[in-house]
Amino acid sequence: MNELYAICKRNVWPVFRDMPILPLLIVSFIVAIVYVPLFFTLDNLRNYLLQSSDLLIISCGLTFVVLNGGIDFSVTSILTLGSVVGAYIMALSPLAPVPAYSIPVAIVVMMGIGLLVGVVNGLSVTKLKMPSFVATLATQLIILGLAVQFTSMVSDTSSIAGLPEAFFVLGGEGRFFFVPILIAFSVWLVSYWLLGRTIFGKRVYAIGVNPRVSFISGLPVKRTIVLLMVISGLFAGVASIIATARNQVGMSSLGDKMFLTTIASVIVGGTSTSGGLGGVHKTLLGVLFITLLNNAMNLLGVGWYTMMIVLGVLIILSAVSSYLLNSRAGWTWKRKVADV
Amino acid sequence: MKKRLIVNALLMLLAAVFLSACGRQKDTKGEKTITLGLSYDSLESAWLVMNHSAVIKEGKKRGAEVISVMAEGDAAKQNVQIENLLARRVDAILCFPKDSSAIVKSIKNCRAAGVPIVMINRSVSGSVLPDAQVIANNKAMGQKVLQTFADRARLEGKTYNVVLLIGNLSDENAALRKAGHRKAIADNPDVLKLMAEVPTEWNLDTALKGLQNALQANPDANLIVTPSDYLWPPIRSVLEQRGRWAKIGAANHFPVVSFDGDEVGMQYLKDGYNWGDAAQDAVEEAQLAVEWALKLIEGKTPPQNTIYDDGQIVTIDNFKEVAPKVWSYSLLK
Repeated sequence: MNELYAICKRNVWPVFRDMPILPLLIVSFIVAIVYVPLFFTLDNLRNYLLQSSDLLIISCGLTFVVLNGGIDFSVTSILTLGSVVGAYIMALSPLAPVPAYSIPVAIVVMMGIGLLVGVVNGLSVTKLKMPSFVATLATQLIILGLAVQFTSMVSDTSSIAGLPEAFFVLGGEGRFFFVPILIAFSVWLVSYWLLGRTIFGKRVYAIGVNPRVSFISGLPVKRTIVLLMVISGLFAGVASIIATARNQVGMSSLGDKMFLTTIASVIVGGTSTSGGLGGVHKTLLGVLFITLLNNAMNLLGVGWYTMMIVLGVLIILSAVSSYLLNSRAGWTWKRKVADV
Repeated sequence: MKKRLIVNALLMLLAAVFLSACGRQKDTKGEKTITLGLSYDSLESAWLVMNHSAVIKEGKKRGAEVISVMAEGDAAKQNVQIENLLARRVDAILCFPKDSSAIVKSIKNCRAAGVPIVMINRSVSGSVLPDAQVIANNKAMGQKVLQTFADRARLEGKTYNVVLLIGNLSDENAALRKAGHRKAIADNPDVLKLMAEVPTEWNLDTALKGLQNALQANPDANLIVTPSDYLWPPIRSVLEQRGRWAKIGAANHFPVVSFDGDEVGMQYLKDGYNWGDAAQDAVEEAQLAVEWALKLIEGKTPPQNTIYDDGQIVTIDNFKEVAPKVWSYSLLK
C-alpha cells in the first residue's frame, strides 16, 4: 500500500499538480458516461471531437499570446472576416464556378487574412508600443466592421450560402469526419513542438515571465512578439476554414459569441494570464473540458444560462488555482530556466 | 499544497455534482417515450418567451419529452446543438432558427439521420427545406396592417412620411415583413411615402441610434412602422426625447404601426399609443409545430411544406372585438 502511494506520489501527483484540469476532465468524463444518456456512443464521441476541432485551433493560437502575458481579442473577428471573404470567393466571385480554383484560393486568402492581421497586431504592440489588449481590440473592431460591411455589399443577408460541396470535406462532412480532427491535432502538435522543443518556445516563456529581463539578456523580444501575434492570427485563419466548412455558409456573425469560450479554454486549461506558465498541452485539456460541458449539457437539455454560470465559476476557480500555483512560481520558473 | 488540493477537489466536486444532478433528472421508465429536441434562437422578446414555453407545454401535454437548447443568437452554436440533439437520438427536432441560411446544414444532418425537422416562426427558403415550417404569413400580415392604416389615413385626408424599421436581413421573417410593408407603401402612394429605412439587426441599441438619426435627418417623418413589438423600447425612448410620446388624439402624438401582438405592443394599443398591430399567434404556432412534428414521426406529411398562421390585424378601431383573440390579451393591464 505504501509502495503504491509512493508510486502515485512520484508519478501521478506531479502530472495532476501541473495540470489540475486533468483529474477534473477525467471525473467529468466518467460522470458523463454514467449519467448522460447516449453520451458514450460513436455518434456523440465523433460530434464531441468535431466540436472541439475549431476551438482547439483558435485556442492554441491564443495560448501563444497568453503565455507571453498578452491577449488577442481579434481572433474571433478574423474567424468572421475569413468566413465571409472565403465564402464570397467560393460562392459569388468569378472563380466560384470552378471549385478546383476557388477552394484553394479561398483557403489561402482565409489564412492570409489571419496572417496579415497578426502582423498588424504584432507591429502595433512592438512598434507603436500599444498594449496587446488595446491593439487587438482596435483590430477586432475594424475587422468586424469590415466583415459586416463586406457581407452587406455582396449579399442581401448576413450570410453567404452556396459553397461548393467539396469544401465541406474540411468541415468533416459525412465519412470525412476525421479531416477537421486531424487538422486540429496537427495544429496542436506543431504548437506543442514550437513551445516545447524549439528555442522560439523557450523565448516565449522567458518573455512571458519578464520581458525586460529577457530584453537585457539579449533575447529578440520584439521579433518574438510579432511572431506570436502572427501565429495567433494564422491559427484563427485556419479555424475560420474549419468553422465555415462545418456550417456550410460564410457568416458575418460566426465569431460573435466565441471569444468567451476560447479564452475560457485557455484559462481553465491552466495557462496563466500573467504569462510564462502553461502551454498547449493544458489548452488541449481546457478545450476538451469546455466542449464536454457543452456537449453533455445539450444532451441533458440544460439551459445555456446555466452553462454560462458554470463557465464563470470555473474561470474563477481556475484563476484561484493559477494564483496558488503562482505562489510557487519561483520553483516552476527555476525549472523552466533550467530547461532553457 | 493543501490549498491546491482543496481547489482541485472543489473543481472535481462541482463537475461531478452538476452533471450527476442533471443526469438524475431523466427518468428511466421502460416504455418508449417520444423525445422532441427543441433548438431555439434566443428568448429576446415576450413573443419568443411565450412561444418557447408553449412548445414545451404542448409537447408535454401530448406525452412527449422535450429537450430544449438555446443558441443565444449564435447560428454556429445552433448547428452544434442540433448535432448533439441528433446524437441524443431525439425522434424529431423543432427549431426556431437563428439564420435561415446557416440552418440548412442542420436540415441536411437531420435528413441523413432520418429525423424530421420542423421550423417554427422563421422560415427557410431555397432548395433544402425542412419537413415542415409553421410560420406567420409575414408578408401578407405586414402589408395588411399598413394597408388598414393607409385606408384610415385616406378617409381622414392625411398623408404620412414613413420611417421603416428593418429587422436582421439574415432573418427571413424580417425580409418578408419588410417586403409586406414596402408593398403597402407602394400601393398607397397618395397617403404613404417612404422617407427612411433603419436597419436594427434586432438590436435595441442599434435601433435606438438608427431611429434617432433617421428622425433627425427627416424632420417631416410622421409615422414609424416597426417589424416587431420587440423594438418598442427604443421607439418610446426616441419619441420621449423628441417630446412626441403622446396618446392618439394629442397634438404631439406620433403614430406607430407594429407587428407581433405581444403584450407590450398590445398594451400600447390598448393605452392609445399604437395604431395597429399584426398579431402572430405564439401559442397556435407552437401547437401546430408540435402537432406536425408528432405526425411526421408517424410518417404523415403536411399537404404543403409551409403551414401559415394568418394572425390577427388589431387596430384601435377593432380592438374590443379582435384583441381578445390574441394570445397576449390576458396579460394586458
